[in-house]
Order: sequence, then C-alpha cells, then structure tokens
Amino acid sequence: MKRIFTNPDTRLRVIKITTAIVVFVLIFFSLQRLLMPKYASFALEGGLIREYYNSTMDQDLILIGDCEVYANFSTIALWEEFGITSFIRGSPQQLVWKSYYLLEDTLRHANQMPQVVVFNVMAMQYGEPLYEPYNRLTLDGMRMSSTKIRAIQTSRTEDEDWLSYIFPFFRFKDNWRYLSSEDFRYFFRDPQVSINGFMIRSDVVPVSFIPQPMPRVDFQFSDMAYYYLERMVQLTNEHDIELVLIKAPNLFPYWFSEWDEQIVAFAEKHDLLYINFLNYQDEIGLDWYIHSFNAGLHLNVFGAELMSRYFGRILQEKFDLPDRRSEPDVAAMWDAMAEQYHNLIRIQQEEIASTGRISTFLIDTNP
Amino acid sequence: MKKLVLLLALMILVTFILTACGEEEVDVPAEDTEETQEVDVVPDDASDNEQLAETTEPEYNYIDDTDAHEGTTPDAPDAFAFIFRDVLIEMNQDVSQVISALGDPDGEFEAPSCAFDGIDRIFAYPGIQIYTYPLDDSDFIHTVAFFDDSIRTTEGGIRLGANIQAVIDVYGDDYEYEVGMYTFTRGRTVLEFLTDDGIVIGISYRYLIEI
Repeated sequence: MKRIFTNPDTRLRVIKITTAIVVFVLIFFSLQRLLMPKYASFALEGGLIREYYNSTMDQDLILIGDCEVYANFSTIALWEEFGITSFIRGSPQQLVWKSYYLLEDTLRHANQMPQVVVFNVMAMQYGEPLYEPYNRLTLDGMRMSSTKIRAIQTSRTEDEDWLSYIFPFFRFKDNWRYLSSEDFRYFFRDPQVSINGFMIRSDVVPVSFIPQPMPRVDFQFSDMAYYYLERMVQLTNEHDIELVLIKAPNLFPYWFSEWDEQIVAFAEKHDLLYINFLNYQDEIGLDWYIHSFNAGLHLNVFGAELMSRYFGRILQEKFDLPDRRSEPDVAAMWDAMAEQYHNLIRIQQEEIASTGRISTFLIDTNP
Repeated sequence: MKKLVLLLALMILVTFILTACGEEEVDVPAEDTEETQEVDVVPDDASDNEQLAETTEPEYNYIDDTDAHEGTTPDAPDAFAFIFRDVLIEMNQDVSQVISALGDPDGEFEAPSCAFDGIDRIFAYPGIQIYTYPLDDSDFIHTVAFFDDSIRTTEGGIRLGANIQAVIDVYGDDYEYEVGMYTFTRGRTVLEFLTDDGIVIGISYRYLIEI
C-alpha cells in the first residue's frame, strides 16, 4: 500500500482515477438534479413530501394521508386558533403503506416526538400498488434512508425498477427534451408549494353533481392495508404517541358504510379515536357551494379553515395539545409562515377578482 | 489529461447507452405530451386468457331472464360497443362526438386524472355514466356503466337484475371470473357483469388502458 503512494507514476494514476470518479459523480448528480421534475408549474403536489426536511421546527401534531389531508386541514388555522404546531405529510394517492413509511420517516427526523398522529383512512380501500406516477410524487420526495428503500420495495408496481427510485436520473433521463427555465431556476433550491404540508387554494368550484359510485360486492379491506395500519398503531404505541383515525368530509370519491364499519371496529379494537367527518358537516359549517375548489373533491382554504377549527378543538380537548403561542421562538416562526399564508390567499383572491381564476400557487415566489 | 477527458466521456456515454436500453419512455403525468399519446393496450389475444385458476365460480340455480332479447351487434366484432338512444358509443372514442349526438348530460363531474395529465370526467345520462380520460386536449371514453334497469346491453339486452345464466347464454362461457365479476373480453374492450348471489348488480363496458 505504501509503495503505491511512494511511486510517482502510481500516485499520479490514483489521483487521475479518483478525480475522474469525483467528476463523474458530480456530473451524474448534477444531470439528475437538472432533469428531475421541479413541480413548480405542474403537479405541484410532487413537492409536498420533500418540504418536511426543510422545517426546523418540531411539531406536536402530524397529519398523514392522501389529498384528503393536504387539501383539507390548514396548519395555519390550527396555529392561529389553538397554537397547535403541525405538519401534514400527505401526497396524492398516498396508499396505506406509503403513509406508514412516511410516519416512520417523520419520526426518524423529529427531534421531539409529536403527541398526536392523525391518519386519514380513505386509502384503506386500496390493497396493492397502483400507479407509478403517484409513487413518484411521494417516493421521489423522501430523503434517502432504509425507510425509503423499504417504502420503494413495497410501493413499486411490477413494472417499476427500484433502482430508478434510488437514482431518478434513470427515470427522467429523457426529460432533457423538455428542459425549461424552471429547471435551471430551481436547480439549487426547491419551490415552496405548501405551508407545513397544506396547499392553499382560494378558488371556488361549487358542487353541482355527485356521480353514483360504481357498484361493488366486496367491501373487505385488504390484508395489506390492515397490515400497515396495524404497523402504524404499533409504531405510535412504541413512541407513546396518540393515533387518531379520521375520514375527511369529502363527498367524492364515495365512502361506503361497509368501509366505515370496518374502521369503527378497528378503532374499537385498538382503543383509537375515529371521527368520520362526513357525519359532522353541518357542525363544521361546510357549505359545498362555497367551500370546495373542485366540486366536492377537496375543500378550498376557507373550508379547510373551518375544518381545522372544528378538529383543533377536539384535539386540544381530548389530548391536551399545548398552545405554543406564548413561546417567542416558536411564535416568531409560525407568525412568519402565517404572513406568507395570508399573503398568498390575498394574491389568489385578487387574481380571481381580476381574471376569474388563480395562477399563483407557490408560497415563496410572491411579491 | 487527454486520457482523463476520454475516460470521463466514456463513462457518460456508457451511462446513456445503458439507460437508453432500459425502461420505456414515460414521464411524470402532467409533463407528458408525446409519450402519453401512445396509449398502450392489452394485446389482441387478451380474449384467449384462461379463466382464473385460483378463483372458484359459485354455483347458482338460474332462472331465465325473460326480458333478454337479441340486440343489434355494432359493426365492430373485435370490440364491445354500446348503443344508447340510437347513438353508438365505442370505447376509446372522443366523447365530444357522443355528447353532440346525445345532447347535454344531466350532470358532469371532473376529477384530477389518476394516470394522465389533465382531468378525468364523468358524464351522466339517465341510467348510465360515461367515464373519460384526457389526452391531447380531448376526452376519450374508457368506461360506460349502467345504473338502473332501464338500460340494456346492446348485444342480448342484458340489464341490471338479470340472472347470470342469461348473460352466459348470450355472451358464452369464455369469461374470467373473480369475486362476483364476470368479464368478457374482445380485443381492447371488456364487458363486465358484477353479480351478487347470481344476480347482475353492475354492468360496465370498459376500454383496457395500459398506463
């Protein structure tokens, strides 16, 4: 070994090879970064999962699930009304196993354990991996860890290559044809698409028609869905965290009573709080003619604020979540986020007033 | 130095060659334009699939559906199609053609597409719902589902409430069975009959799309 470094020729060769490898790795990861979608002007939901790692705050409340959490619960309303610190770890069609691994990932990165974890049960209807594009929106945002690798193995469909999740370059290599200024603008920093996981939509598309659900005979949740829900119970128990199950009040896709009964039974068996908010729409104050931005699929920000005020009160009463508004450091950070939140709502409302539609969605690109 | 540059170039070239031989071109949904135009479908020999070996078909005492009758088969023997109010509805057809023939639907619902860039739409007419997927600024039909017993399948006149034996009498025994669902395949289309205790409770025409 010593001879290698004393021989000038060999030493030069080693330096050359090492330099070549380092340069190759730099080029490879730079290309990968450039070619990966930035989620700044399309499919913004793809930016949700990665934003958790930018947060320097510990949260008392974590909400986990699909679009029924990131569109329906305002983290700022929870702060302003109750002083509850929260983060939503949600992404589109986030199936139960993805939610489990995101919970594991969340706890892995938390300095202080949350007191309460809320899981939205809509995804229990799915029993197997579905679509690659949705896997991408969730998994590509996760930071590399053994948890992510297990999430990939569980979530990928048969045709998907797990290596392309480790090195997304192999998946997005053909995007060079669609490179735009956006790819260069967000090369070094990601666009901010949410306030602690909550996506802001101020527009209104009222409910005019709810389709009939397709008939079905088998309402039994799959073993796989139950398995990962059980693991969520186990993981929260291990960390002395309260797990709460909810069904958000969305009108569509349809939530069958046969599914609800299974969740009620599961919650009873594990002594969990389960709230089906479909049963409390009047108490919450929801009016689907003004509180949805896409005809009943999701709440807009005003509906989400109502939802959060209703749910925040329950959480504070049942689990004694602390009011952090009296803590100066915490309050300073949250108040700054609240300012961004209200600023974006104001911009969106101005856009609606002038053009009838909103075009500004990013948090950090506002004047 | 030349060797170093050559080595680097070689490594990059190898990476691109290796990846070029890899998976098919697919992009994240919203950015897709050209790729998603190639809507792959199951091969035409899908109808040759054998019945699922691991599932067991239940036995029923069948009664004849006296209302079943012979309908008109559309001129598409390798695909299922449906005639509604004298309008031929084919799978993977631009829905605007159907809407212009049928008139405005009773209701329309939009949802972000699960698999494509854009919006999935549901159009409701009395007794049926037409489901579409977006592609190139148009909406293409992927499913037509029945919701009341006033609607009959074009071939054989099967309606909700019919006995499954009537279905088999019309469509034959070349079907797949799984958890109450009888699936008949023609090319890239399927006709599905969902049954509960031998009675048809759901009927849908579907286009097989590979995402």
